[in-house]
Amino acid sequence: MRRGLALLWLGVVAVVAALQAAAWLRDVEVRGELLALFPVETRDPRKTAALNDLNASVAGRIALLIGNGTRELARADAVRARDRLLASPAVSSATLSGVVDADAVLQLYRAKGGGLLSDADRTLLASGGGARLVDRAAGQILGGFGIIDSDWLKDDPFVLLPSFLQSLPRSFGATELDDGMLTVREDGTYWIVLVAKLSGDAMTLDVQKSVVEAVRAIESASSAGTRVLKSGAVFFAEAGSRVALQETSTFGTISTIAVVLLLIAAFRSVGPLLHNLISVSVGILFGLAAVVLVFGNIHVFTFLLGTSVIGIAIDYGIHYCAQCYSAEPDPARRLARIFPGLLLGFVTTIAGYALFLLSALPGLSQLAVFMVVGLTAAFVTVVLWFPALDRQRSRPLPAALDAVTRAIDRLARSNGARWGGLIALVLLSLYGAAQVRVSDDVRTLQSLDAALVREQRDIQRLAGVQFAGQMLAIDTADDEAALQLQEMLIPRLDELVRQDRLVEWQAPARWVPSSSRQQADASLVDAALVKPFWTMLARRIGLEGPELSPRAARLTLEDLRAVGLLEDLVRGPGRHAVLLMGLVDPQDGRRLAELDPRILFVDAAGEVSSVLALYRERAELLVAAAWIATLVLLIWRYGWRGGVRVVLPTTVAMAVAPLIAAVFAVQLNLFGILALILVLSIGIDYSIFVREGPPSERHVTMASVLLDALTTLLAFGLLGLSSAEAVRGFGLTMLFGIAIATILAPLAARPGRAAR
Amino acid sequence: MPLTLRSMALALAVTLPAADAAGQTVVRGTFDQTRTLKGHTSPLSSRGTFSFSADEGLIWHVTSPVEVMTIMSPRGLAQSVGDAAPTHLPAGQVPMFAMFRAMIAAAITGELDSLSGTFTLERTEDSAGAFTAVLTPKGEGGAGRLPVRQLVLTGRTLIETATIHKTNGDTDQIAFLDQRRDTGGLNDAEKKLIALSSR
Repeated sequence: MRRGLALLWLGVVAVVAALQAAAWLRDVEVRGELLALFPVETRDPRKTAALNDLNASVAGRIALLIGNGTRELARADAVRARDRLLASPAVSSATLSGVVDADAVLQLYRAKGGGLLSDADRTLLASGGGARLVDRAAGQILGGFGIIDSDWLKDDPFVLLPSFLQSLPRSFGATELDDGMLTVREDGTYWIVLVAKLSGDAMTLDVQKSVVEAVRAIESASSAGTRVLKSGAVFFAEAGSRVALQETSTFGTISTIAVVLLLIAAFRSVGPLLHNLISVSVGILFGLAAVVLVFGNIHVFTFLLGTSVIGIAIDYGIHYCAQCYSAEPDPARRLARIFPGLLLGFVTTIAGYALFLLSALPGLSQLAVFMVVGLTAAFVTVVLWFPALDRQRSRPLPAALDAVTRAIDRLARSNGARWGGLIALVLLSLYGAAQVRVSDDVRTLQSLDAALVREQRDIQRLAGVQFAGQMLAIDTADDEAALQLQEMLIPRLDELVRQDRLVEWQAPARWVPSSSRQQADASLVDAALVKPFWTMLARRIGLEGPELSPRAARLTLEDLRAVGLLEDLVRGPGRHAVLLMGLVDPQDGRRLAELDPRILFVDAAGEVSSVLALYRERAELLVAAAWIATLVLLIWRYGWRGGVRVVLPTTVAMAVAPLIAAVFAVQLNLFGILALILVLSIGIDYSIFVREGPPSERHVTMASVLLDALTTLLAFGLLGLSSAEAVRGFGLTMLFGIAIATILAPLAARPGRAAR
Repeated sequence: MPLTLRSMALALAVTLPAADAAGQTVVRGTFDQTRTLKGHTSPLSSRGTFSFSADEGLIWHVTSPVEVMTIMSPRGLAQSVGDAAPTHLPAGQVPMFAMFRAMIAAAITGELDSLSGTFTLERTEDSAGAFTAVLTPKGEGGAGRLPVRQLVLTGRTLIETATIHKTNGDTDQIAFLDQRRDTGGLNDAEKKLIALSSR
């Protein structure tokens, strides 16, 4: 019967493996976008499009500054750097002269700027201050070294255009165009600005590799004394990926070698190692298959967290394998001895994860399906296959393992140690409680490369290059409506700048006012300046001849787009972007968006943070629900006192672990809560194994718990050394939680029955 | 407004009186400027004073028919009309400012040859030491993009007249008068004015 079931399970596993292979060959959709984690009903297609726009205008750009004390060397290196970037498949364009032809833009404004007024001039004219503009015009005509010539006067007799032009935003504020190259000079160094646009997604490894290789080649090919500064999301992403890969490789190698050595040393055979590898692989296979079957896709979030099934599934296998240290030689009976404990541990974990299906969050729902099905498959594998594969003879515990397990058992059951441990835990927890900070801000989860941060600051200081972090996405029926909406925002944005709550902003309306505003401004100039003051101006400067009036031609959005301007700001008819640079408080952006339903505030970091906050809050509730479900099952099995006794070690571990982690400056966030879910799932297994284990062989049970804990700590605890805050927090919470749950597990034993 | 500033820089560079390169030397004087604008029957005339220091910068003060003060220094530009508060333009916001300063230096030293990269220079000198320099912008790039057809400079040890012929038919003529050198540097009042440009 058992053999038949084992073979049947082999058939099922083979079929699922084949189907999965076929499905992945057909290309299963692996979703990585953040918004896919939001509940479907709250997903806003406008926000998705706007986030993509922001991403394209921010993440898709890089800026390099090439500096040398000799102007010619700096320029020659800059040309080589541009050519090298253009040779990279990841770069679609690169320029040393700024993104637009400044002369062409000026000619356009001169030809069609009849309706352009700076805000200051508009205010002055509206308040009857035309005479002051006459004085200014006279000064510019007579005192400006002949700049204002007859052509200029013909189109702009009151010389209003320079004032408007000076109010335009400057992308590269501190630079000047020196013989075709944007240049800034500081402390004897000539810095040339090189800006480039990427052809692909900055978050993909291929693009990162290509761009970074190009920049390295630029650095190595540059003249002696040349420095290259770089700025752009792609560099931070590459540094993050590189560190993550290095850490994954280092921690993964250490942990794999350590787990292999541990299991081989503990069982003196590779059999248990291979058997556990099989059960964990089957678990992951079924978890993946179930998610793909139910959802039709899998999110990276599920994939990464789902593999933590390893930490739980391996416990079942090790618990079985450790029975070789019992007196029972028969594999079937070995299983029978531990089966109630295995089953209860499995059921409590499954019940906890099944509750995640109620979260209404796609990420957690996928995770629930992955864990429930994956753990079930791993459990079935252990139950059906392990006894059949078991070739281990009964033997005593290795001396070292025996000594450690007995020490832990004694420690947990000694009154002195209990009180000492309790006082130490309480004191540590109280200290940790004072340090606990809840933060979902994604920016605090990343440890940005310090050298890159310095280079970015230098570029910002030297050349004024700053990438937008947020934007207001405008979505209206046509361009005119979009420009009018921006004109409503302009005074509010200027006020934020005056209050130092915003460094800079860019919007199409800053370059080209709406037609209605140009018309109104032209009428204002005619009524408040030309008609009342032309004679005064002509007399003041001694000009004779016909009355001059501003040109009638009006500037349009299309005019500016034709000269390459507004590329990042206009996404389509009526779809404009107001880019916000250095916004101090995102709440200010939200308030602006609340002024009109056609405005959407888009904050890339804020979106990630809000996903993290939403998931943390739901995960907190689910942890509580899973804990209650576990307690109910335990009470059903062991009664009130027994249930509480079994749940107590894990509960203490869950309560104390985040507090101790806080002592190490770990902020409480989603990753900490996910660690607590694992502490509950894994820790409760330890207590159940101890409770269910034969009292006469407590040392065997504790040995299996200890091996479980060591493999878990090696797999997850090492993450506490990570430089990424999220990973470090997860690892440290796991480390403290699992350690405490292990040390306290003997408390779950039936009272009055000591170890052998 | 890169184009206009470039014309300003070049025009200024080639019309300033030649002076010693020594930093403390200041050239002071008066000027008469006559602008003939195409389509207007009478020229625009203005006059005023100027002070120039290689280290500190230029004070260009139109006193008639309106009062306009224009200050240029390595740190930027400032201009005020009458009693109105001056408007500022930091050097970092002025395209071509480094080139502009380099051209001023050329004008200070009187070494017009340094402009030979962007202008074709024809210089004649009579036996009495009076010279005439005719500068024509070269090619398509650089000065060739300026709305200037020709610059004609005359003088002896100092530049005495500058005539700028624009491509649109306008002509600006500046006569530098009463020029005197002073090695004592700018006075306190002038230093205060120069400081306006760095606000």
